[in-house]
Amino acid sequence: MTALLVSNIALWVVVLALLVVILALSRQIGVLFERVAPMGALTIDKGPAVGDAAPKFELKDLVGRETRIGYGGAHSQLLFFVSPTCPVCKKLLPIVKSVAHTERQWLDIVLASDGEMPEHLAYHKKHELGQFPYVLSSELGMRFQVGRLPYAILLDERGVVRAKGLVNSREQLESLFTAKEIGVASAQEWFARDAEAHGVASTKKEKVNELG
Amino acid sequence: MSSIVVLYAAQAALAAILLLGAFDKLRDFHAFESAIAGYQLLPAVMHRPFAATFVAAEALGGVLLLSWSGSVAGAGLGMITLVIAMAGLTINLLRGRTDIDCGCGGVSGSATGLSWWLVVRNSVLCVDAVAILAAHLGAISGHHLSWLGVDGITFVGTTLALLGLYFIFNQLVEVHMRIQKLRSQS
Repeated sequence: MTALLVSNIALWVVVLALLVVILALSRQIGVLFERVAPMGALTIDKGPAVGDAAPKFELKDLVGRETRIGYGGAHSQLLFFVSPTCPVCKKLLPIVKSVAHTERQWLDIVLASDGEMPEHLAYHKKHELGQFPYVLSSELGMRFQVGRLPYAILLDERGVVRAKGLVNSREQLESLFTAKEIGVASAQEWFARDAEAHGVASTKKEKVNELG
Repeated sequence: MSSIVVLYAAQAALAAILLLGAFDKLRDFHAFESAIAGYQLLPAVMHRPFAATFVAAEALGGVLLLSWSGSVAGAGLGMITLVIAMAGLTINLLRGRTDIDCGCGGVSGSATGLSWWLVVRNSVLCVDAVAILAAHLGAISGHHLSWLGVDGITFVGTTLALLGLYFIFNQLVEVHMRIQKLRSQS
């Protein structure tokens, strides 16, 4: 009887330990998948192209403040398209607040969405978004052809589109600023150029070797 | 012996799942209320009363399941909450609104959207509740187990294993939805 009891305990310990290991591994699958996902914001080839002047809008935000989009000014402007029903947007809001603080010298952030006002007011209040202009306009989304969220568009001081893309993390958001700084449309373009440059370099090297 | 131990374990696991669900919803009641609003099934005035009633039913069901005499009522309440949650999930999935907060909470579910896998999960829990109801209504007797012997170990092990499987299933559903989302964006 004692032997049966001991073997029973041992088996249960093993079974429960295995369950804990499976739980830990299943968590890691998600973490790993996100880590290996593309780091740059994913540019969707729709709407005003990088280098084009942005459409101009004069809108009132949720609390009635005048908000001008695409007119340019002393600061660059980041249009950040969100929705109360988008879980990733919710996750990114603290990051947007942090970016607004760190980049305040040169950047103004405008939150944009469309839909029913009460839902957005509740969202605005819940996430304490008073520091940002928050505009509701279906036309804004349509003119920039925003199909998926969260989507960000960076306009420079002259109201020209400098970078844009789907944004799921701080890295992807910052990749838009980097793209503006180094004068490329997106991180993808940078990597493509980089790969091309390396390809050309290695071909030349190979040719030199052949000649040598 | 074996059937009664399995019944006890199924009952304890369901009680723990209901109590954890209620605890998690209470921890961020505002978020749960917003999730109810996100389902777009009730008028705005009903969101708070419904959310409060749902959490109360879930918690009461969990507590009742922990006692022998309250098992029938507990399993019944648990089943009602599960069926309501499944109806909400199914209607929104059929509407194609998968990108809303499921309101299941972080401890016992996914906060990344809706999926048919959540319906499958709730169906399995419903089957558990029905089995508990059937066993008790069938006037099962002899609930005297040797808690310090093999019975006790089997009960604790089975309960923890069932809870472990539940958490693993939730985790895999969450990972699956995150991967689907990433794929659809690329």
